[in-house]
Amino acid sequence: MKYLVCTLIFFSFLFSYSQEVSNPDDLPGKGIQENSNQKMVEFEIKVLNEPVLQRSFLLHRGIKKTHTISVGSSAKTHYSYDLSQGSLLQVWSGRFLDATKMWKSRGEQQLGVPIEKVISLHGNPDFYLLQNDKETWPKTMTSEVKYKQLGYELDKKGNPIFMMELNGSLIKSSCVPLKRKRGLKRTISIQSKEIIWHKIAEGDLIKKSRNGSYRIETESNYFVKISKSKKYNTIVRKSAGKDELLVEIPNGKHKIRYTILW
Amino acid sequence: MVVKKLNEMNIVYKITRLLVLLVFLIVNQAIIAQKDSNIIAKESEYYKIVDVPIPKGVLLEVGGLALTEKGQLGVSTRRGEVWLIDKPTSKNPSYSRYAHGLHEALGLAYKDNGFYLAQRGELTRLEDKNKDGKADLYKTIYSWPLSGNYHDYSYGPKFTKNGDMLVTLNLGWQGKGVSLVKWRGWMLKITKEGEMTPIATGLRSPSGFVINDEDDVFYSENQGDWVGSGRMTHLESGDFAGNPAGLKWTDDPKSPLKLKPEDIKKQSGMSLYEYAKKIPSLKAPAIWFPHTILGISTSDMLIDTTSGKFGPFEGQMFVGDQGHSKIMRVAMEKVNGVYQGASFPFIEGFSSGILRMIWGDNSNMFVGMTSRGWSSTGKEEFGLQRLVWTGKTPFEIKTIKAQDDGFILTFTKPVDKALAAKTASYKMATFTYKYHNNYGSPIVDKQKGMVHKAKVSDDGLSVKLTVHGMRLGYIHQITAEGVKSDKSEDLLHAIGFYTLNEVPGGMLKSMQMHKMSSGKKMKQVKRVAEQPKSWVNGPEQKIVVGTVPGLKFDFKEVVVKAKSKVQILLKNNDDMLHNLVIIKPGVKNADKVGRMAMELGLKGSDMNYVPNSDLVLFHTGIVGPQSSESLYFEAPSVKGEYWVLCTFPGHSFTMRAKLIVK
Repeated sequence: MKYLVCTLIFFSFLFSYSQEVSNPDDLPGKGIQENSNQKMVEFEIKVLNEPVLQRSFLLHRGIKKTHTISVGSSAKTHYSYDLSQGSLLQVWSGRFLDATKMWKSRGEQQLGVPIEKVISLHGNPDFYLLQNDKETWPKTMTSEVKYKQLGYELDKKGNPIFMMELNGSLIKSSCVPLKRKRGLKRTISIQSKEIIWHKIAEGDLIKKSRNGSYRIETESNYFVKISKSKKYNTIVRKSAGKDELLVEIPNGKHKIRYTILW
Repeated sequence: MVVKKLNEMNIVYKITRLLVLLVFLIVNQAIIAQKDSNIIAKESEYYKIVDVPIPKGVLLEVGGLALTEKGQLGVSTRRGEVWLIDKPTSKNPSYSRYAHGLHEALGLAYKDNGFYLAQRGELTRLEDKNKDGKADLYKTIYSWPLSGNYHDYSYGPKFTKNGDMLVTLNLGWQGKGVSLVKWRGWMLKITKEGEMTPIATGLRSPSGFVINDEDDVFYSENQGDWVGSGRMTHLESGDFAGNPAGLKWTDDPKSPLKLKPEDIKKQSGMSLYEYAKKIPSLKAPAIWFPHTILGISTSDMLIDTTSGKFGPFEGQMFVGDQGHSKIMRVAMEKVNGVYQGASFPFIEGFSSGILRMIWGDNSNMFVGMTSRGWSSTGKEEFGLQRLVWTGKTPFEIKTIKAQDDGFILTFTKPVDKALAAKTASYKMATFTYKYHNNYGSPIVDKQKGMVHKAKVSDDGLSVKLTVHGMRLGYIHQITAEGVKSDKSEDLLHAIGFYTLNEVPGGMLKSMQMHKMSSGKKMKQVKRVAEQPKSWVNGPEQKIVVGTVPGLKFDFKEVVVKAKSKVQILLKNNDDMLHNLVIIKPGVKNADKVGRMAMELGLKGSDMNYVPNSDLVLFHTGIVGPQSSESLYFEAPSVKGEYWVLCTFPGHSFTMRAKLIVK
């Protein structure tokens, strides 16, 4: 079964690659059968109606992250977030989280493990202060800026809005599942005294399509579509052999929205 | 096809689980039946343990307890939830989930209409802003680094008088206690605004701490590396409590002390009290809890502030024990400005491993428990109980107070003056533990003392003992078996352990005794750790076995041939002390040997916790974490299923396997 799904995904990617992407509505996420992963999980965290949050350690690209939280939704689109430096770590769909390595006996790994295959995002700080658009993006939060995690608030539906402070500026970030497509809508609110840069994505290749969405090619490809992107300076740049999608957020009060589709 | 196979696996899995559950229940029953119910029955005349019902589906692995201003009981759990229990002392308390998704919240406090709690990686405030009964703000007050090691537990907070919070951070575990990232092994002070000040270090497993009326802070410590036995230390800013791992961070400008890990000798041969004379910041404990006698893993601490509504122990302290599912009692005093005092048995027989205790209304004590991964005498995986005073006063040694030439014992009821005036009614012994990097310590330098004179006060409520053989820096075991109340009642517990750091006036006047015991381990003939010389061709069968965390061997059974020469190598991969004892067939025998090992008392450590019994055939010594020992023996000639146990007190009920002789 798993092979079948993999093959399907593989072919669908092949298919999408051969075509120029014209509209996010035609993206591979749509129309693929629900992954019927039958894996037996001893301590499975299931999502019923309301969003389920769970902090745990998480493995991200081979690194054990310790201040992380996973958010599961009944729409079956889930994500993990690194509170220690404010970054979206991974997204996936299907079943939510396996807590066996955390809740069985002492839970010596203390890991939460997504039950399905994830799309792994860059994992660098999502927000940083760059001197100019040539400056290298840091892999981890540096001591040159003052970062403080403030925790999160839950909205009426129970979705978390993460809050952080970067050199005294307040940044809020939230993700909610899309209603009809497999994806998340991310909203970022910033109240800042200075220019803040936001790294949206990193990939082997980032391609902008005609309708303005970005196709991020990594181990598993995905798409980013920025709403009202014209308002902000959005750049794709090369850095250490990778493409980076960055957006420059001027000082003042701003709200940025984009969707992540896979 | 795959689906079908998975379904089959599912069924096998379910059946296996059912079987495991069944076996567990049977064993459980056996334990309950054979548990020495005598003392529990006696204790329950005075203090009753009452269950707080937990609805099915609520996995209340208690990490923290706190009462709200409306009298609801807040419970934080190891699975990261916070539950609110309405009318917690009623028959049908109602539960509602206030918060979820936290990372192993091992503490809880209520203040300013919200909860504060320590998660593994931060101090958090929870608030219900829209008043729907669920937290909607999870505010990070202060975040500290984590190494990713599971043993990096974080506890608290507790509020100081001026409204600051204290948290304690457990060491990680890598075959020894380690401080892999900043402030592991420390107590920190954090303001509500998130300003952090490191207070003290040397902490190893500081799951319990308490602040008294004078704003003095005490924490309880678990036996382990550098920690000879369970103990309690008064922590002040700049103190070093004994485990050097946390000293790694004293270069930080915020550190209140400069001592470095390499300043501490790994094997000084001294007790902590002696070594503390060389190292000014090293703080000798105020109280010791002799390992396996008064618990094996001290946890929460609770001061009796009930103004007598909880019995005769106003102002004293209750200290929980996770592994032994019981509560000890501590009566402290301050001598020459130094805290010290006596620890006593109090109440045993709780349902799971005690981690948290708080006062409820009507002076009920709520007791929150968990035993997942850390087995306890109470076999439930988790539990919430109340300890309720029945109104009857037990006849107990209420306090022990140090004098320069003896002790004053006070009692909860007037004594029979004739019996209490006899010196033969009392016994005293002194001993201590080594301060070294080993895991735990044997009881060392044990000496008998002598009660020279016993003078009863006019009201019959106290007795002054003039004692020979008091020693500064030692634990004084005082028993008063012969004392009865004026109504002829026996003492409910006739034993207390006084940690003597100071005597009034500063000069010890007690006559000294000659050394009675060498403190050496005794020779045990059933322990053969070296290959016998007669085995010229070596063992016929060599078996390597190990331990796994959670009080288990890594095997269910081993098969040997009758009369064959066998070598079993026990490799202890766990972070606790274990032995391996082979005993005669029969589950009752296994239970019995386990029980006998628990009753060895102070002798236990010298005997490797192996009782002198015909039921015992062969055994190893106590094997420390990351160590090993071989056991050579000739397999019995009678075929059958022999038992393999770890008889370290409290372990044998789960840590057992079979030796099948064919």
